[in-house]
Amino acid sequence: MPLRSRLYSVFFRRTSAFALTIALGAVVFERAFDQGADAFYERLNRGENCGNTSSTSMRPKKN
Amino acid sequence: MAALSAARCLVLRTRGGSLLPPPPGPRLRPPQASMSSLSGMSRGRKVALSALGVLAAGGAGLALALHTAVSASDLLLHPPSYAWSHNGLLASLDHDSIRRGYQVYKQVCAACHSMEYLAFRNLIGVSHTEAEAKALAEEVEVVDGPDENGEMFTRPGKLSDYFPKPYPNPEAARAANNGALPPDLSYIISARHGGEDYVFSLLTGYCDPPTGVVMREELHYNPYFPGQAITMAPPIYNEVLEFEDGTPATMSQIAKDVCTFLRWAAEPEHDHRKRMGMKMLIMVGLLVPLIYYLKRHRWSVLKSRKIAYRPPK
Ligand code: HEC
Repeated sequence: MPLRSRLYSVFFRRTSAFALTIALGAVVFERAFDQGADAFYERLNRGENCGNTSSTSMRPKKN
Repeated sequence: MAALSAARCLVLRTRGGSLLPPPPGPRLRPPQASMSSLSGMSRGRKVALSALGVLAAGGAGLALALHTAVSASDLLLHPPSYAWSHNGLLASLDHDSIRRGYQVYKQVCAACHSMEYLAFRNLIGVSHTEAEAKALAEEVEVVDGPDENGEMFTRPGKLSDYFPKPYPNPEAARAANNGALPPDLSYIISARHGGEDYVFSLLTGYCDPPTGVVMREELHYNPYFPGQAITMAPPIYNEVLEFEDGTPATMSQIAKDVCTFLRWAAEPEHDHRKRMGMKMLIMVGLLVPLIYYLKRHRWSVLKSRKIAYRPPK
């Protein structure tokens, strides 16, 4: 419980801290979510590109 | 239910009719359904409503009749559904295939077909790198101008230029193709029933006409083409070109690659659409339980509330 109450008092107690938590949380969550979902999508479609680049952009070709 | 109300009527009748005082409580009557919801309407309204109904039914009937009349005429072979690698709900286009397909378009189809809605810049990050797309663009001569003397001039292409057209205008295209206009291929996959299945079948489906069917000199028999007689000569065959990535250039490989390319051209947002759809589903999966929990939380007060009646003493 001390950890929880510490978290509470640091991130949620004061309105200013709460607002900041929301704003920063949104940024962090969106980045993590986007990158995670993109990685998942590329993994699903890995076969589409011989496995060596993202499936939705082109690798530099040698020839 | 019906048996119950019948029994009730019987009880009413056997009680002695009007001789006895009515029974206490709400009066029981034989149930009577109001069959017509129009009964309370004025005459004018009824007429208007009927006219509307007749009109709607007639319109639907007409649409149906016209529709069947249209499909009665298309006697043609429907293309089979092929197992395209981009068929799945979350399956992206095969970008190696798009690249080969562009090569097919450039070396074969571009002799007759334009793709006027595609620019070289569109290839970047899809099938080619920026440097490669630039090099491709520089291969073509573009008429630009006027310069300061009012003259038109030619220059090497830029990334922002659109794909070159084989003919300056549709009349020239017809004149060079026995009167048939090779359609622009930018959106051909969306513009034909069956999409890439149709175009694949069309490209690989040329065959000898059945016995007794005589073709005009400039026409070719293709069972997938509406009317079976197409002006386009069979454009591809085994080894019509050599793929730069060494893939064996069989006829079906070439057709498959050019169809994947044309699918991308007609639907450049394809991969992005599926990716966003997936993200939307994941997000909804997160939000719905959250909202459900919140609803239960808010309602818990109301649902666990007890209302007690304490009669005055
Ligand atoms: C020799 C010129 C020529 C070449 C090369 C050519 N086409 Fe055509 N194409 C035509 C003509 C002409 C028509 C119009 C046919 C008609 O209306 O009878 C046509 C029509 C089409 C159609 C439309 C069929 C329909 O349902 O209306 C498609 C799709 C098509 N071509 C795809 C291709 C593809 C893909 C390639 C490259 C592999 C290609 N064509 C190469 C001349 C050509």
